[in-house]
Amino acid sequence: MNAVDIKINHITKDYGQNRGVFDLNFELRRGEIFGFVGTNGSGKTTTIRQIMGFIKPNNGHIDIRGLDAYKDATETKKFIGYVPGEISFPDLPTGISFIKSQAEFLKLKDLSYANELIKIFQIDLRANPRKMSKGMKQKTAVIAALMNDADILLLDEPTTGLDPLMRKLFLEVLEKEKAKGKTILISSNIFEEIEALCDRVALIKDGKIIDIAVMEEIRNPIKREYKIEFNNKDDFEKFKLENIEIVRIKEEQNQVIVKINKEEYNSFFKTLTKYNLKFINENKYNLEKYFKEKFNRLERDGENHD
Amino acid sequence: MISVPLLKQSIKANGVAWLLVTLATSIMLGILIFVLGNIQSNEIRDSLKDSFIKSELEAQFKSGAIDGFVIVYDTIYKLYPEIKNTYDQVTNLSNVAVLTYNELKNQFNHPNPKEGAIQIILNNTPDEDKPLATFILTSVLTYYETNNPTQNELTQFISKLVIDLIINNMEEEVPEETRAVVKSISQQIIEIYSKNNELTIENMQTIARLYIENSFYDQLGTPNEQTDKMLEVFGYDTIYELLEAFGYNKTTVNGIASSGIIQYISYINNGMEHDLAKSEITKSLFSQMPEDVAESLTELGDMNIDHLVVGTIFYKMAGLLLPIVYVITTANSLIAGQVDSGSLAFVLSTPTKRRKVTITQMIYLIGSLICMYIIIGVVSFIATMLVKDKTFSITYQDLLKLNVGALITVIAISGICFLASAWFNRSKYSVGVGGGLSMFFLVSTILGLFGSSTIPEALRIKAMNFFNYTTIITLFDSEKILSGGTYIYGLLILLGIAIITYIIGIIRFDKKDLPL
Repeated sequence: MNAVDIKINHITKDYGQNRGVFDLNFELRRGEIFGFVGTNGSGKTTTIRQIMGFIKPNNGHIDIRGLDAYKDATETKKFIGYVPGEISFPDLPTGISFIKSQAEFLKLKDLSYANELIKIFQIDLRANPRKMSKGMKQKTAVIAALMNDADILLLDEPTTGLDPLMRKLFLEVLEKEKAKGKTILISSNIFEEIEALCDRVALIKDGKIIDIAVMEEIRNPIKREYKIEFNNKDDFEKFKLENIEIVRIKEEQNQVIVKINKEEYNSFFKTLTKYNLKFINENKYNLEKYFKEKFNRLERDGENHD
Repeated sequence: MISVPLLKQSIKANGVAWLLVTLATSIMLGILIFVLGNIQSNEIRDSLKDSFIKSELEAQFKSGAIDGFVIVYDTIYKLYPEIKNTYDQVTNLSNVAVLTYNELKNQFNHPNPKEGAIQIILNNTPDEDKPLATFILTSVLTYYETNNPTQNELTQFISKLVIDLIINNMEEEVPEETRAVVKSISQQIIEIYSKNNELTIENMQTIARLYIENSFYDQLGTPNEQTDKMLEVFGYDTIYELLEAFGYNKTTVNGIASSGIIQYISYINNGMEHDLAKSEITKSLFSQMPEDVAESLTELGDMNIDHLVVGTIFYKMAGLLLPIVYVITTANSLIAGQVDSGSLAFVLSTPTKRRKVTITQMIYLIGSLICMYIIIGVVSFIATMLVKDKTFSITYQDLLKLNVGALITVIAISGICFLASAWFNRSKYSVGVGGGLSMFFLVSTILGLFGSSTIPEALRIKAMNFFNYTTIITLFDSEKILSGGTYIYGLLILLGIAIITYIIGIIRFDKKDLPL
């Protein structure tokens, strides 16, 4: 297991009326991309602000490479890059002057990486940053956060406002950053957007973490689901008697949904050769399904407890 | 301890507002000084003063005229019986003498009808009257014999004789001027008496009035206590110089005296008491005020339009307005505005301490105000230099003090706005509290002016002085800076306010949660 970059220790920030975050406890490992998913108002931004040291938790503390996120906020910024959720630029005449000003704050002399990013994002920085479109603002903010080659990147909903093409470009850039060994926290309210990118994804709801999914397990599950439809009723009836785990049956369409373990692939497909199939289709597993299951289970547990 | 890139950002973001406010305020002040120096800034005060002085002078004239009138009238009243008696006596004697003379001459062919007539008449005269009768008879008959006058000429001669007798009859120590007065009024009394055989009160009043009317202007040259005091107050050597300076001449002065007397006569004839009538007529603007004349004059003389306009209206009000607007908007945009919009996130996501941010912004705010007042000060110096030889009465030293005082005042206000900006995360609260307080202070100062001692008591609304206790701008006592007095403690308190508000603002910003 990699070293831990950010350790969030049971932090609570209570804004009253059930708003805020409650007893959050998780960690960001060095070199991973950590997704942070939740609806609006679920506490993503509140968490990130506490990591940034802008907000002091009521309880608990956040440890960033041995430094306290709040007390040592200035020190931690030396290796953190940040894209805020709501982007508003200082009152400067052009995007270039903004980038230059940020470089001055960072004491960054070499702007070659910034220039490279400007090329990748195809952005015209001569415009007044306050009059930029949402997408342009987003890109400019990302450039400002990345140009320092910071080890840890905190990106609060960086892809909202980007068109699909730009989003793809942006995710590619993040993959490159990951390849450089960066630790990245990225928040979003859309599962699809980040599931391809992340190593782990945390689901936050009402200020509490529901679960942290390991994407490797979702992409390569032990059991896969297949939907099979038979051409005739006989085959369908016969198949039901096989020693195969059937999840669901649709009588009228002669359809079954089965779950197959990795090791049983060979025997399963051998078995299938004996039947006349109309089609076979894999029911892909994804983050949304994962969390839905998790969520349902939680609710059921909750009901049982009650 | 400061962040250079943040300072640059602040300058770029607020520089234009700073420039506009500085230029507008400087130009306003420059024009003000230039205008005050060129259009006789004290014109208003002087014309006010003029009318006060004129009112006072005219009251003095009327008072003097009435006094003179009363004296002359009394003299006439006292002289009248004597003149009447003498006139009757002389007329009778001369009639008898002329009659006797003609009889002796024409019917008896007397060789010396004059002597004869005198003898005859003296024989019928009591002994004690004989010397006077001899003199009258001799004078009349000598004149008659020599000139053979008409009746009219004889009457005139008799009148002259009567006057001579009256004058001669006066005591030796009576001064020459009084004799002249008596001579003049006796002439007029006789003139009327000889026609009407009596004098009414109106006749006497008219004689007295005409006498004063004709001689009043010339009489003013006679030194007296009242005029000496006026000359001292106004700074003239003679009363005639003073009169000329205020546009009076013989005709107007005598006219004023005349109108005073006519008024007086009409009051008296309607049964008014002397004292009341006189005080009614001689009511000046000053005498209507509670203080005495000298005190009112002193206050008015001390009222300086330059001090009022530049020291109070500009440096404490008009000239503060734009810098305060600048302070309100800038203080907000330096912190709360950037927290509210979220743009401060970019600064604080770099290794820049919160305290470095607040101190940099404080230095920008105070520094920009210092630069602003240096420019305003330089402009005020240049403008003063241009009008130096004219009537502008504020020195360079006083201007320097005014600029420093106004700067300290604005810095104290900037401290309040800065504290509000550092305290609140929302612009609307920052501007509402910081800007609201600042504007309240400014408006209170404007309202308080009407009750302050800066403006003359005659125009003051005392109750409005209350507002001077609801604004910290009162602590900048520009009037004391210009007119002398202790102003330093107020400025020290303002500095204290600035120091405390900035420190609290910086500490608060270090500790609070930031929604970035």
